[in-house]
Amino acid sequence: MSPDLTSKDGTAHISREILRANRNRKILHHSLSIAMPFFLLLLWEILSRQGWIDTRFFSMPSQIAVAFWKLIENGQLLKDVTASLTRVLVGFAIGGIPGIIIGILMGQSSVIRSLLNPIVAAIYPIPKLAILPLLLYIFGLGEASKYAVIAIGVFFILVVNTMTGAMGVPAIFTEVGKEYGASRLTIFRTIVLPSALPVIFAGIKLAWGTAFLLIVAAEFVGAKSGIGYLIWNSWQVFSIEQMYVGLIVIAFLGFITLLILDGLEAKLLPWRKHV
Amino acid sequence: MSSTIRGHTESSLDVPALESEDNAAKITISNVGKVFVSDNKLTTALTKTNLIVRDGEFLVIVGPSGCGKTTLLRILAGLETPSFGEVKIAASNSDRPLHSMVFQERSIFPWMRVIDNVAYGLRVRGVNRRVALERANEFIAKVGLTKFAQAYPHELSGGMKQRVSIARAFANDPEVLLMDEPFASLDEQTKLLMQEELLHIWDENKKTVVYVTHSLQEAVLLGDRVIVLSAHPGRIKAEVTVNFPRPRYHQLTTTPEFYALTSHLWELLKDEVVTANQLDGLYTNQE
Repeated sequence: MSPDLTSKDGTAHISREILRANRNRKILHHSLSIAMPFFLLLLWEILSRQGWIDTRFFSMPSQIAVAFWKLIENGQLLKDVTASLTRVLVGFAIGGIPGIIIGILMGQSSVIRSLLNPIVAAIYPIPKLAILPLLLYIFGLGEASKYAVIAIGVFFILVVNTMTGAMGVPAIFTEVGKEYGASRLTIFRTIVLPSALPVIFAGIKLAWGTAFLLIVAAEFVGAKSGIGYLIWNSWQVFSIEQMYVGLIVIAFLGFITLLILDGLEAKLLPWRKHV
Repeated sequence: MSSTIRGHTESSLDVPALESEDNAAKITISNVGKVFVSDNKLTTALTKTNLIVRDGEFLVIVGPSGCGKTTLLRILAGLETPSFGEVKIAASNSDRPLHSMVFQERSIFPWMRVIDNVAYGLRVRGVNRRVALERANEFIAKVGLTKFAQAYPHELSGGMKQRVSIARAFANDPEVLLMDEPFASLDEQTKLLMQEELLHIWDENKKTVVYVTHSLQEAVLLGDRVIVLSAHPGRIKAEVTVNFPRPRYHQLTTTPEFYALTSHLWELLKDEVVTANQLDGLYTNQE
């Protein structure tokens, strides 16, 4: 080994070099990831201005931006976003809370599991959109039918995920509780629930994505507000730029809310990957 | 290091000879047995067993896989109910729990910080939070984890997690400590360290311990007395008293006396291991 390497200065120098190379590579990768969408937008704009792609189907990004601004200015976008988000949140609460509770009960009690599991297993695979007409028939065209389709959609996802989580608590954890004299309720509160939380949270994220899918579809039919309505209405009046605004907004909403859920999970369950 | 083996006694413990021998009995196991149902057939995990563990004794149970040693320990821990017989643990103080188990390191709760893991037993018993955390800190210091008190288990190595498990049991201040192969999944070097640390902590308060292990070296290094269980169905085959002076250190394992005692235990155990693995045919020619 050369004295250069073993001497303090020599090693420090090399360490710095390695760290810098590592940092530069990371910066490069980040920049590429950020630059790529902008590059595609630019390409899209150029191609449509040149008339190489059909602007009847693929509006120019600049025109979409104009439509975006108009919808913000006249307040319609805010109204639609609020309407959709409210429906998702209300439906999520109506279906999600009982879903988690029943999932936990099914995970904990083999009697309840025997009672309910066949029903859940039978209904779970039905695409919830398939029952939308039935729900419209029962609840009418108002808000109730939107809440219902989301509630039903998230309910089954959360029941199944929560049950899996509550059943998958390693026996050694509950044995520690038992050996240390914890009551059933204490074991549930201090061991079963925290141990199942990461799986429950995964279910919440999955259900959240499904809720967005459901709300857009539900707003296509019989709604006078919401992002789904915006997209459907744009198609009916051939306002293709507006339709793109709706698509961008719904994608952005889904993305942002999932980021928030991820952040919440990291904050509440810092140990989640190590159960 | 001078060490003496004061000899060993071997006896079939079906005879309750020990019962009158010592009045400081901490654990009295009388006629305890366990039968399981599997495939609609009854399997005897443990035949009726009589055993007395003295106050302050470090008792080690060795035996081949499936000999019922873990079953016996789980009965003591209240995790299994015996099919017959009964276990009595003498309580010196009604505030203290009867038993606490040192589980393997994967039993540490990933969702609790080290301090809350160690305080778990105390909190479950309703000890006031401040007092419980104080006690927990004391034992965290004893196992050398003070810097990690606020860390989550995933930030710790396997050996450090095992220290948390030990601290959790000791902090609970039970009448009896139960240990089921606590170091079985640790690497060899960590295991050696942990054995010495366990001896060190145990020397400070000399609690009654029932320790189950596969390892004969571990049994002789740690125990005051070693119980050898036989294979299917489990029964006490022999017991060996270990009289090496305490405090003990790892140097003990290099002495001829230590070697003689472990060899002796191996001779006692070998037939059982052969039976347990159904290797009879292989060995009958040699014997």
